Amino acid sequence: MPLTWRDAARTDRRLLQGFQCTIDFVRDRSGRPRFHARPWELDVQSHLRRTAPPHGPDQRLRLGLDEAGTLAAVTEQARVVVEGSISVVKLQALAVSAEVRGQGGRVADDALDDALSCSVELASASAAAEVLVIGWVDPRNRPSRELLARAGFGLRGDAPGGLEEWVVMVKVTRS
Amino acid sequence: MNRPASRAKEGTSRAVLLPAPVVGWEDVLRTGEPGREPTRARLRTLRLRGLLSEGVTAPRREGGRLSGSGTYYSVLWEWAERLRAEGHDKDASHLQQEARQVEATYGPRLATYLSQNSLEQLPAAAFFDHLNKRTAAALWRSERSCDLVLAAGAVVELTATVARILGAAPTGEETEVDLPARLTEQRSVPVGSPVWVVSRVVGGAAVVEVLPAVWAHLDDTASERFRWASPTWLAQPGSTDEELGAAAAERYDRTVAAMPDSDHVTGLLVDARAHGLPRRQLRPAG
Repeated sequence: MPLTWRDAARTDRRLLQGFQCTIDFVRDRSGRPRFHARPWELDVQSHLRRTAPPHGPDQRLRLGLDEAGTLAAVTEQARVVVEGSISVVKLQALAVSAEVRGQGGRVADDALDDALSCSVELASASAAAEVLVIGWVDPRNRPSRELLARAGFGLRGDAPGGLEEWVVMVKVTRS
Repeated sequence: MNRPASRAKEGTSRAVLLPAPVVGWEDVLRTGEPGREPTRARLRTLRLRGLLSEGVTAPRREGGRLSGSGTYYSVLWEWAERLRAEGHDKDASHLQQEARQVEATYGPRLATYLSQNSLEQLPAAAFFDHLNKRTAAALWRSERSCDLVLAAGAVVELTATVARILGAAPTGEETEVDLPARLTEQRSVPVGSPVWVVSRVVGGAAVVEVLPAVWAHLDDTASERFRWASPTWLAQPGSTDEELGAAAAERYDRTVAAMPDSDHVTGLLVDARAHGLPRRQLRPAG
């Protein structure tokens, strides 16, 4: 079943604080953390756990809930600039709960579809006819790179901090 | 046991990863000639020629019982060997002098401690912090040594054949390398252990080494040189989940979630207007 998506509200902070999209630390015998084997996943989880919705008018924080009301995925978008007919929106985060992984990318595809729709909505406040959606990805994050490629993004080049920049121009067609 | 994490909060110092300050004689010989197995005969030859000190000899204990003796050296001998192999004889000689001084200062205490404890237990020694700082200071002054470093990090995965190491490069960027597991076995480095990875070119081949590392607590001036050798995702002794989570969130905000600067945006718009970017259509629901 597809997830139900909605904007995060102030009352969702506790829900976000419990969101888990990665494995646990490797710990020593006394239970203290030694290291994390997937730091790029730890980073986004830590970012989302500390995010304090609601976001302002230039940003969206979206929650995808399954039938049981469990938080299954989170996305975050921010409008960067509007110039002429082009609006630039950046995907700030896309994370799938560790509980619902292993479905061939179905949940992640659903999350990215919603994130793109929200990106268009963020841009629709302007007169922009096209939306340039960009995302910065850790090159070790293979699932995210494959997800973006499936959705039509292309690798444009390097982003600051050793990251990759993936981009797609979205043209909105209204019937 | 030194606890760099708690002291680092005082704001006068920084915890960084440094190569373990003391190594076995086999490691020094292997560094000097990577293609040859270390032998006691070659050790004697090097000593007789004055190319190596007597080191520190202590009875070795295994399972609480005496098991021969071990000979240990300052890790600075290894760095001297690397520099010598690179043709930096003057720098190598300087590090050899430093190594002799370190051994003269700490030798008796090392011999006493290692007669009762293993080399892996050395960080628990009362004098370890000073020994570490003294060794770091010598490395800090040897710029060419740091040129050989690929990364400081930890072994995060170990299979029968491959050791995966996540770390930070001297450029400050995170890096990941897969190396033959035998390199970690030679140095008795188990999964989860902090390491340095160094490399150099010998003839037409690259020699890559995995060195056991330890957390060192350096003051502001000395730690600046090794600022990069402190991957924020790697737990310092005493770190909590909360501290590591806060560091990870800060890192994310500073990198993946950072906003592009105006030059970057200009470049994006130029590419977009030139129709040089992938395109797709979207039909909004409703």
